[in-house]
Amino acid sequence: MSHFSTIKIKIKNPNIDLLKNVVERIAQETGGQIAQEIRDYDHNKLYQGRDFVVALTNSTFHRGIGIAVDENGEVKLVGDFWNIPQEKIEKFKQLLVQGYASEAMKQSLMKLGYKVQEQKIQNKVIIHAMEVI
Amino acid sequence: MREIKIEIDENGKVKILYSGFAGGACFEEAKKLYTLLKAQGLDVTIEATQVTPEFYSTASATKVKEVNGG
Repeated sequence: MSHFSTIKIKIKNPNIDLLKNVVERIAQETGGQIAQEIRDYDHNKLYQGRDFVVALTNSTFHRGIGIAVDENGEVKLVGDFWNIPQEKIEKFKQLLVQGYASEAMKQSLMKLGYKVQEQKIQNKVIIHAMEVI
Repeated sequence: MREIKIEIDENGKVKILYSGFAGGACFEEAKKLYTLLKAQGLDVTIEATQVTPEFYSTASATKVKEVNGG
């Protein structure tokens, strides 16, 4: 028997190591780097550990963009986004959710005993999992 | 051979095709996968489920029918 499902996913109570790996990957892919601190226009600073879990800087987010997890386990973006187009912020959110979902999916499938392959086709991530015999 | 094909779009919508499972094993596998995903920090909301022609036979050939996501 086989079936086909459509699901909607949301990051909640994330695995912090996984989250950091995904943000490192986004930093590499966007020509940026991981940041220990980010700042606002007035040079006030936010720090890793106190204000966010992980952050990056790149040409779009030159003051930095941090990822925090609130008391409800929800992921929040922190930073001074003045003069940054909303679509750039939305694109970052999409990369984060898609990247996190992809990594969580691959790890989960491997735990279930599958061999996994990943491809990126246009804006979609395709994962093919085959049972290891 | 059991196979799972997954497509993740940029809006967090995920399409999953299970094929090559006997009986109701694909639903059992889906349940295990969702449990593991939750443990990894992913909340899953099922929007649509559709059995494929394989549902009605034990053959491994699978035809995919598109499901429109909401």
